[in-house]
Amino acid sequence: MEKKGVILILIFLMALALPLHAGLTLNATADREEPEGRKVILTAGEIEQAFRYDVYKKNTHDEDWVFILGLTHLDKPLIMDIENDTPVQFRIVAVDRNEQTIDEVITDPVVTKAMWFNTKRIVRFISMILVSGIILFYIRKARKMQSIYLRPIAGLNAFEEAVGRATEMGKSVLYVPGIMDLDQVETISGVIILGHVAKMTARYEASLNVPVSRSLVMEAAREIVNESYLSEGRPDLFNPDMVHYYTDDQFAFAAAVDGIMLREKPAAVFLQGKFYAESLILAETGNSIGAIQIAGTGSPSQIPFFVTACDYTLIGEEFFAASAYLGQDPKLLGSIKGQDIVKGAIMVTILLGVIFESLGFSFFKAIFNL
Amino acid sequence: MFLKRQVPLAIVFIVGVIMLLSWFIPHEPFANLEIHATQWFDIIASFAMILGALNLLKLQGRKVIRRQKGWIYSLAAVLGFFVTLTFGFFFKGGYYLEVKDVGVNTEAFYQTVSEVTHTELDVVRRSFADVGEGKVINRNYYTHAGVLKLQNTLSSLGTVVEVNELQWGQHLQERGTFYSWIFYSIFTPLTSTMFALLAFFVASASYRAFKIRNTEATILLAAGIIIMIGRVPLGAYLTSWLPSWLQWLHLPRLQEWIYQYPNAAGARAIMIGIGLGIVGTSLRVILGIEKSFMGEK
Amino acid sequence: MSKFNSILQKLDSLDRRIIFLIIGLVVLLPLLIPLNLPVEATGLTRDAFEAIHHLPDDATVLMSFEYGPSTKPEIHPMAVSVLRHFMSRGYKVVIMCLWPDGLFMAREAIDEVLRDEKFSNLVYGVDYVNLGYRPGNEAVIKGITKSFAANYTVDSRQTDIMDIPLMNDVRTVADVDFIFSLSAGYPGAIEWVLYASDPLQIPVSSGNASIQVNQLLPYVKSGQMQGVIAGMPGAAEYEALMEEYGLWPTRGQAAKSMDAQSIAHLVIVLFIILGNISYFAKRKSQKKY
Repeated sequence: MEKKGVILILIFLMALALPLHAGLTLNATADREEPEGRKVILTAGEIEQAFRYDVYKKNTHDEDWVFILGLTHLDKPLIMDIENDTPVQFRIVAVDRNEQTIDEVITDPVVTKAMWFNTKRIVRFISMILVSGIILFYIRKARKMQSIYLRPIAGLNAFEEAVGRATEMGKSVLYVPGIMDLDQVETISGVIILGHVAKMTARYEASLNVPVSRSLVMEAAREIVNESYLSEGRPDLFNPDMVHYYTDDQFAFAAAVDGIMLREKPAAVFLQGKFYAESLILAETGNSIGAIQIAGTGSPSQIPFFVTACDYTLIGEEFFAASAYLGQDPKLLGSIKGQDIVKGAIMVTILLGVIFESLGFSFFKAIFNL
Repeated sequence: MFLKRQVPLAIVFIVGVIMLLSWFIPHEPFANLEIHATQWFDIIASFAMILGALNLLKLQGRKVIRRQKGWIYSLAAVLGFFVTLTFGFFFKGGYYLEVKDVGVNTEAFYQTVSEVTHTELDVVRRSFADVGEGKVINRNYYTHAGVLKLQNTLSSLGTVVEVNELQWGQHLQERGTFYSWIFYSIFTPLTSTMFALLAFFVASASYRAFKIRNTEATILLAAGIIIMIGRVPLGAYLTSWLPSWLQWLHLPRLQEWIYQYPNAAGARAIMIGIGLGIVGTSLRVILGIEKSFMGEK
Repeated sequence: MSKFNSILQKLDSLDRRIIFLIIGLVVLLPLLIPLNLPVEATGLTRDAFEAIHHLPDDATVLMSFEYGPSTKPEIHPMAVSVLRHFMSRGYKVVIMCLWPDGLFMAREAIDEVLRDEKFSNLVYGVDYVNLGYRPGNEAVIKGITKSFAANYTVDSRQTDIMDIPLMNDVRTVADVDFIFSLSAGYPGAIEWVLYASDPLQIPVSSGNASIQVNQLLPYVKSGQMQGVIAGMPGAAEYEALMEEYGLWPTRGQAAKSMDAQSIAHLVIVLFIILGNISYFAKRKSQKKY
């Protein structure tokens, strides 16, 4: 009888204890879908008596818990940020209205790791490989090909004509390689084209004026112009002050270049690089002095202004292809051909996408959402 | 030759490939490479500015000394450079008062502060109701003499105030310093004026260029006119009388359609071409096929 | 008739200074004698407005200033309107600048909005904060996707970011509910889409100079951006929407300037028509000979 009584009492106590522990739970799992790691998903079970749940975390080797936040409900999973490769524990404390602790749970240590490859960018990676592969294939093929046909671009054919005009008139050639720094690909293209123009001015003995907006561009442009004059066998005509710096500020630079145009009245103006709102100011001023203007930019919003105000404009891709056109190096021409093949592939892809979407098949679009 | 040719090409290739791959590898050390590289570039470009500044001073200074054509503009450039440098590094201004105790003449104090800071009296009363360990009067003075004048006025009312000066760096951001005076009084009107020139140049360029030479030019002209008029309230006003079945001719609606469909399609096509051009150029540079940026053939 | 024809032909080479003078006058006169033309909001602006208006009541928004004095006439009115909208809705506002000039613009916008007594109870550091300018362009955006504190140790008043109550709940840009970029170039809205909004799926909208909107339309059409406020017309439309929703009763600066822009656009169109008449007159006489 006594034994039965003890057993009954024990069962009764266990039954009392069960509801206290059955509700409050805490699970911490590392988010394996997150490429950068650092994310832990906390899921917790509520208990009825709790007024608030305080969440803490600590690195396993630390002693003190750090309070993160207090919540009144635990209905949604919590996403926590932690450092990768560091074991972290989480603790949840249920408190009542009198700030008394009802229960607490501590998780096992959890570690997050970053992936070695971001699987969310797989489509972009494959596209990069394909595009690069096609361009490289045509670069290699170009060496064996006798000639590669590229459609004539009026603006590029006019380069030599513009420099010749300046020589005949005894005036200078003004070249502006954009207003941005060397971290922009358009600036690099502008500076490369400057090299070709410098060869022409060396050959024709026209004076060259290159105002720049960035110090690094000044140094790179100076080096290129120097090499161009050397390669033409006219180092005597090169003067480091041909390439000179004015200011980083967009409109102050535009004012400076306008001043050069109005005072020195160059016969040929080249605007090749990255431009913003000052493009029309430069182009219109050049137009007002009667100079022949050839512009080229990768800024889509400035192209209409150049088309309106300049004699020739290299639009978009033509600007990036200019160095290949002017240099006539087979490898460069091959890369242009490769670009054209990629462009054709993109056009086909867009067309297929339009057809599939119009017919109600969204699988094609979904491939590119990966 | 090896240092001038092979080493730069190797650096460009290695760094280019690493940066390209780091976008796909979220694991350290690749994860933050892009951020670090961008910051390194900013630091290098900032120091390189010294080269540009010296070049500017050399050329413009030479023009002034030799009294060459247009030397007066060069003088303006050189003077502007040194004045801004002085106010940026040597004379900052930016003196202000911190109120420790308002004193007994509270209304007179509030009135004075309201006048100097151009703030409503109620707002000043609320702000200075409890100064705690110190409350700043929201007005900076260019000179010490200027702030002393206010200090004397407030002290005569029994207010306890302390004169402080803006920290270096803060003086570039706050009003009441010589640097901010240059920014608001000289730089801002000048850049606004240059930008405003665009309005005039757009008019003269449009007048000269929008000619009906062929079919494409005609379509361009019509689209341009619809967008120009439809974009402004005048367009809505001129076509507000249209009945509901002709609402598609309502100029703002027409211009929005042209803007969002044919225009956006054209812009996308050009952007795709530019994107490809950037890819091609970057590949050529990284792989060393394009060497002319180094001065090589 | 032949005299009329020769006048028409001479117009083809009209001195540009006459054009400048006429444009100057037609811009000046409506500013002095307002026409109060009604402003009608277009789809792009309305989308941006609705996206902001329907954020949760306890939303935290990030507002980035990337413009300077040159584009201030176009972008500043929309900056003031949007900031006013945020504050009217009771959102917490975190302000930052990726352009050095943006800091001055931000300060002016804050001062202008807070002049309204309606916002006199807003507390700096609790309801809004101005983190100021940091160099680095898109590196700053990438940095704040990981940690604000690592990039902004102090705010624009040199207060430690750890001592700012609002920033306790905003550790990274993922903690904000909406990003609004006021941009006039690079870095700007596109960088916010590429490095913050798209990877972290935070809705973004922007206010830009008219000229840049072309580049942003593909992002708007693809759903990566929630509308865009395009230049001064867009700013005027936003002000009209603020009035429509009862958030701001008076005609704003952009709406007042639209009278001048309307007449200027009309005059430019008339110039174009005149230019074409002259062109045809010249062509006709050349064909004759």
